[in-house]
Amino acid sequence: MKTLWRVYARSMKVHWAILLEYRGDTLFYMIGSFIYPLVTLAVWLAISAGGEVGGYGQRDFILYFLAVLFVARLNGAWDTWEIETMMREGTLSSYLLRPSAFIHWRIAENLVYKLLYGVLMLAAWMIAWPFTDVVHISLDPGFLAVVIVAILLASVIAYMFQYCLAMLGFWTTRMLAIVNLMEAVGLFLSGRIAPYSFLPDWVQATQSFTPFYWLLGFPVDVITGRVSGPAVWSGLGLQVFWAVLFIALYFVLWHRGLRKYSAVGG
Amino acid sequence: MQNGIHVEHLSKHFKVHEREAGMGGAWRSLFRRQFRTVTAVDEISFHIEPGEIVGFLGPNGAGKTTTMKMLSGLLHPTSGELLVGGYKPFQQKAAFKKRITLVMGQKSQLIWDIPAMETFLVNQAIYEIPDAQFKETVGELIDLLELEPLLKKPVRNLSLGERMKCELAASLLHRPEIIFLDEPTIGLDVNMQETVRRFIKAYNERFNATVLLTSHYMADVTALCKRVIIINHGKILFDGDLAALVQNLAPYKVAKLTLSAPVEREHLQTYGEILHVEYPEVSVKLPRADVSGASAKILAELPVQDFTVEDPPMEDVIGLAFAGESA
Amino acid sequence: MRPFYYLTLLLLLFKLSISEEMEYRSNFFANILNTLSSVLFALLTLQVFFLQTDEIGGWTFEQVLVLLGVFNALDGVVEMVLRPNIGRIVQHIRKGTFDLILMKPVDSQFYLSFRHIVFWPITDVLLGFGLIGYAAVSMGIQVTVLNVALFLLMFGMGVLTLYAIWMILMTMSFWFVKVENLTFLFSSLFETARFPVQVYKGALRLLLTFVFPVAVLTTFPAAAFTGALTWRDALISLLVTAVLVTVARLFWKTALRYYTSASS
Repeated sequence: MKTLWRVYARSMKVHWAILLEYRGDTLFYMIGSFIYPLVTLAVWLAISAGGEVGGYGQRDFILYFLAVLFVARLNGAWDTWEIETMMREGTLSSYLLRPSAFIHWRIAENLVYKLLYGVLMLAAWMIAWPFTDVVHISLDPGFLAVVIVAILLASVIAYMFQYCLAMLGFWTTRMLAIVNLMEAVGLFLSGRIAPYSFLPDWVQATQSFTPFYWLLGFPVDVITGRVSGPAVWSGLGLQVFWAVLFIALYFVLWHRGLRKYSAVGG
Repeated sequence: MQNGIHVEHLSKHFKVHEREAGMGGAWRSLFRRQFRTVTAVDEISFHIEPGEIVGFLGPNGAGKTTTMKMLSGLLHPTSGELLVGGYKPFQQKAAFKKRITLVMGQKSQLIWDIPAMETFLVNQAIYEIPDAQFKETVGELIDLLELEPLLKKPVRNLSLGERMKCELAASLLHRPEIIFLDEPTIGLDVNMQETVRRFIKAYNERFNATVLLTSHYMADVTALCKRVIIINHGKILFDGDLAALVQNLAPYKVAKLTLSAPVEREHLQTYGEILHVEYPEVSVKLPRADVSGASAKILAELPVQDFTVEDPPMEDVIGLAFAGESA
Repeated sequence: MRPFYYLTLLLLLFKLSISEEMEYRSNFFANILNTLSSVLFALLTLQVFFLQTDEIGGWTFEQVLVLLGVFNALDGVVEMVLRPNIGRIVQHIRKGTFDLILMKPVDSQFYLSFRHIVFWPITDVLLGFGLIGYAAVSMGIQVTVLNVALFLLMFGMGVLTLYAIWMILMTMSFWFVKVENLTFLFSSLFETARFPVQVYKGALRLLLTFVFPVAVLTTFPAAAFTGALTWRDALISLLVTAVLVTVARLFWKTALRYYTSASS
């Protein structure tokens, strides 16, 4: 346990240095990633200009998409692209020689970026607080604790889901095509287009059977107060289920994949 | 009409941005940039007649590449007069570009995934070469460079030397009258170097083309160039006959002897400065003015099995040129 | 400018690209899959919006469908011509082969813009036009010659504007070496073109009409097709295109002067 702690401390220090070197690019990406949710928000604002639709007024939409921005940054993962490049160029092998599992190195990178994003966005939220009450949410400690847990679980699901997809690269060279398809499905099913209650009934029926709602829509609905009471607890339960499922899947894929990788001498 | 190359008081200065180390330095340099002017080429003048092959020599960073780039229109001169084939290169007129070519040993214009012939066809369109002339030129180049078996293979499957041959052909399709060759034989094996040299010579004779050549291989220079221009620190050190260069800079020849019995080093020294002793091989410098006298003396007085007298190697002569300049 | 010379050259480069691309045939199917799934999800997204309303910014479902068709066709153009070429300048400068291109008696902007053309994304263009046709039938638009001519004119302006924006980004790679960031920025901004510009309010709309003119890219061509284009909008389209194309050209020339250090 102590060794693992040290591995993370060291790896995160390295990743922080890399981040600083590319700080311009990092900010660039952060701002770029805001555009799509803001465009969608603009459309909803145009639609709701004449009055409330589906129980959401203009202010509700703004809060909803701000929460989407916030959570989407904290559950982002880009490992499929990184790992695809490493597999294609053969640089993955050198990482596999290290004594600690490759995934710790990757998670350390992910954490460093999310810490930065989290601090920046929390600061922005706090600065906005006195100026507009659109961003006001309940400050009840119990509520905030639930929000934090929901976001943490969401980012674990999102990250492990992404990582399992990356593992498919051991078997196919077209892993990124699958990832792109998942991205498109996820865009629609995770609540980025609209609050879940706006989606067609047949989509809502699949809510519990795909991981997408649990990695974005659910924490957002908790923040905006659309999910409350016992539904919160059963939601957190389902989040735990998906997180455990993907972690278990990771172990299976990683060990099988490594055997396959070393067999072909990649 | 051919015009050759005319250069008068040509200079090129670069502004180099200097940054202090560390974050503070980076921050300060955002507002107050520190510049230093570097003189890459310093008031050089020379003239090359149509049909000449001239070797352009100098160590790395001497100003060779900068000069070549100005001659080919890729760099704008800071000052001076420059006429190439009757044009001012930096105006980059299409008519000018059609009369020159630049071949760089390590940089390729060939399209990687498909046969070289496709690159030729693109160049035909770009240079607007009429079909009949194109056919004729390609035919000649195929003969001179023995390209026939290479033209059907994708470029990526060719060896380095084969690629260079195709590169030369692609660069000469439009029959340029002025050719800039920048290290054309770099990385090639000895046979292929020889082929490239023979081709350059043949092309020069066939089309009376003006050739300016840089190379690290002295064999390229001695085989092709009657005249050399030597440049260092942006200035011309020597411009003239290769033979004259050797005579001026190296007032000695090198005698190589194979001895049949050992001779004392002190005794050998009386004939001239010893360059190398490894019994039975010895090489000694002989003064150019009295080569025959000294040779006769050696043959008479020493137990010599074999004896030759040669000019010193080009590398050494060029080295002397740079050493003399810095002294 | 000699149109015939450049047209011949363009055809030759196109033929060349096809024989290069034949080495990567399997991309064709990957591309079709990609196209179909992205259109499918775009349609589903539209459906979600129109479950709540009859019009967005004054546009009906079918009209937005036309706009989506235009967006898809333009996206195809990006994938065919623009994206394959943008990264190459940096490679050419790094490898030193940029010099060889500058030495050719051909316009370097032309050569670098069109040297590599990827054929497969033609499916995006075709599907885009298919969407437009489908929307036209379900709206019951009577397609007139004027209608089509105006649409083609506006679509042409959209393509030119897209090219100019892309060219400006490409020219920036002389100074900012990381092109991935430039294309990422473009792709993010291009997303705003999925919807009519009327969706955006106030200063944002002005910005998206004149600075990053998504209005010229998708709104005006779609409006031309559905007959909603005003003369004022058509004029804006022509003006914005002319200005951007000129700016892109001047910027390129400036970059070249910087490269040959003629500007200092």
